[in-house]
Amino acid sequence: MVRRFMAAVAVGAVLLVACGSDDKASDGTSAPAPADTAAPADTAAPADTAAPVDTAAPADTAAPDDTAAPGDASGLVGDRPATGGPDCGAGTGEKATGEPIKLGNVTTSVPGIDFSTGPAMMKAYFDCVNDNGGINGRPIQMLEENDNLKPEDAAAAARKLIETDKVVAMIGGFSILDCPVNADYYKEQNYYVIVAGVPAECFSSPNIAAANMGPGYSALGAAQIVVEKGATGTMVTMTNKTATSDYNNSLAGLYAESKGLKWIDIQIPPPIEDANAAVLDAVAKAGKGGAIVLNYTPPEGLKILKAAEELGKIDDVIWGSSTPLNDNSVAAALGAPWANKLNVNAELSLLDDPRPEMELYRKVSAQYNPDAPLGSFQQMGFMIGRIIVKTLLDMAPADLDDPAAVNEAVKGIKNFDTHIVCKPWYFGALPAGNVPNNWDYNVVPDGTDTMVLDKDCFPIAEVEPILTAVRAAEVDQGLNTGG
Amino acid sequence: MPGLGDWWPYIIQGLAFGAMYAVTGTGLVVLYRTTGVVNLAFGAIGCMGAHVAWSLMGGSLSKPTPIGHGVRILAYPALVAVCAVLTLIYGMWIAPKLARRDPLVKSLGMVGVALFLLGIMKERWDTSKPRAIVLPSKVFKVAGAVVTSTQIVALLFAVVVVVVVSVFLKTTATGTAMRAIANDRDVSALLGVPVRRVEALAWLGSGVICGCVFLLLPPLFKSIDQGTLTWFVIGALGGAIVGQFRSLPITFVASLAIGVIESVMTPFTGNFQFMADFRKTTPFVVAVIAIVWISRRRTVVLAGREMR
Repeated sequence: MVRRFMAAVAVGAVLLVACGSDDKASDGTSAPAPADTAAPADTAAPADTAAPVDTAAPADTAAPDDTAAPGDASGLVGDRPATGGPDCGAGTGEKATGEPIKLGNVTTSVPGIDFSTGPAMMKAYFDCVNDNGGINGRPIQMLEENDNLKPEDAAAAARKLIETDKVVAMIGGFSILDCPVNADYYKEQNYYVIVAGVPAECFSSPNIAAANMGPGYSALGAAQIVVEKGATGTMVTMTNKTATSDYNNSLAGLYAESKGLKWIDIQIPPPIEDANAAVLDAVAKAGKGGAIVLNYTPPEGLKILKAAEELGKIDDVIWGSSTPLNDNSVAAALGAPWANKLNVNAELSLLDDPRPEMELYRKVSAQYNPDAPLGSFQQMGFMIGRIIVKTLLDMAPADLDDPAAVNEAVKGIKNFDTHIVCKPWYFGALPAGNVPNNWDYNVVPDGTDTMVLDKDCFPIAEVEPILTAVRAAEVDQGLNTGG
Repeated sequence: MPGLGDWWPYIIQGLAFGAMYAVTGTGLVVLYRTTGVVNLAFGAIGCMGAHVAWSLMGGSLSKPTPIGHGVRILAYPALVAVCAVLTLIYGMWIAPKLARRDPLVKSLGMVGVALFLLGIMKERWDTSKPRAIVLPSKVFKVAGAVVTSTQIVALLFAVVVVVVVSVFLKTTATGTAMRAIANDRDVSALLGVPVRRVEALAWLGSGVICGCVFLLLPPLFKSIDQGTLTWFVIGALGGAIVGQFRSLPITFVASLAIGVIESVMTPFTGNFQFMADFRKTTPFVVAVIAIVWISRRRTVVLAGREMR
């Protein structure tokens, strides 16, 4: 009886494990990264992102530009008025009625990788717009599909939204898989998609433009800061092990190596179960004076940081992180031991930035999304909402149900001033890909409950050809010169 | 590849997690021996208790790691109470309906409970923001490695649970009744053993153990991550399988070994990187090896068929 049962339990356990790993296996086979972005496990960088032949330090990391004052000739948004205006949409105070304008997005929401707070904030902004006249009196309806971190779900979700639900635009997806799985489909359908992007494909398709700069460029920004703050020897980067995670830290690795540091990338299958062991391993590999750059969402990143605190490893290395940890709930959880000791690359402006766009974000968040703390994902959702609403308001009402017209309008967005990013946002539709957000900030926890500014707008280093091409196009086409 | 001295901190981490595997395994074995049910919802029930306690402590998205002070300190016993009540409810009202079904069906019933609770938790406490329960903890250094009081308590708790449960089963009337039911439920009933009442006690005891485990697990995990905590029980099955769902001491030792092996595989790199990559499979590898060893000269019955 016991042996029979044990065998049954073992089979059951194996099945459960198989169910868990099946997703990962299919991720890896069904949604391969394009050849030009795939990188071997934890060492090599993507082929198309190879460092310049001479591996010289990126020119744009030198001092002068780094400290450019907002609003000067560098094209930073500074205090210019927000393109989206002072209110939610038309700001009429009248509730929108009638046939809704459907917008869709594909988002990842699974334990360990849950980006749903971003679209939730975008929806909150749409709710505010709908209470203020909507789009020419019509409400916006946001349709959201979860890709469940499965390529087949991501593919089905995009097709359902576009072909069955008839959304006129794909806006505000926060997904690990949407870009790699659906980039070609969006191209076929002639949809120009605004996302908060994660994998490389969100930044290398002409049909996709991100409000953020994604984990690759954001970790690169964090790497710039930890090097600037004196990291020597080895830089360890850490991220979740998923189908697209080779990209996450590859640019940071290129930068570290260009500065003479050894680079080690650690990828841990999510969710992290033994954070203490992970920290012991990472700190030992970084060595005294080295650096650790994290590329995690808040729940996972906090496990690492709290473990480092418990083990007394905070001061052994210089700590950096990509954008997601720029979240006041993280600062509150970290408290005094981490004051000024975690450098978080902030792709978006400070959460207490007094400029009007951020004031509106905080107001809308408090009224329409009161349970959510202020955070970078929410900022992205709000910013994308602002961009699409203004774009729709500027269109002829008769064209609002025509996906071709709406997507043409999205494609043409440029010089969109928002106080949430350093420089004006644009779609671009550039052949090599779009990286419209390529300047950022560095913030640190203040030891109580807030992330505070450590370094103002600075340019992300050019360690691969896409960003170099993007910056050239920005100048040639006047994409983000403002005004 | 790290040197021998470099493993010591990982052994400490592994002992703490192994201890949690051991206590969980003990809860699983005792309940299985009495009721024939493997409580695969052990983790989900504990996780639900942890989330309720987190809310009772005043946890919020702007206060993700609350500590119970004042009246809120009652959140800790409330965690144990929630686990005990949820387990008891299942044991008294649902488990009896499956009492005469195949063990696999009984266990699948528990998987259903786990998924049900997981759904409720995901709906009520979204997984995109950090949440953790912390206990007041002190840090020591032992041979150069950091040891926390939570880790020490986890290990001592495991020892105490295994000893107390073993003594209870051997020396008390209720323990004897539990062992009698484990041997033959029908004969025990004919002999006057109050089967339903004893089974209810077993469920209650399992729930209390569950609650105690989930007082310690979140501080070790630094999180009340729903996926991690819910399926923690799967890893704990490894030790129980090595103990053949019978021997508590063997379950204890095997669980500690699994925890340590899993942890010391973390720092391997280079040609041995695969060991770090596959360390989460340790409980299953150990379980499969144990099954092969135990069954080496016997007939294995799988799904009603004899495998020779």
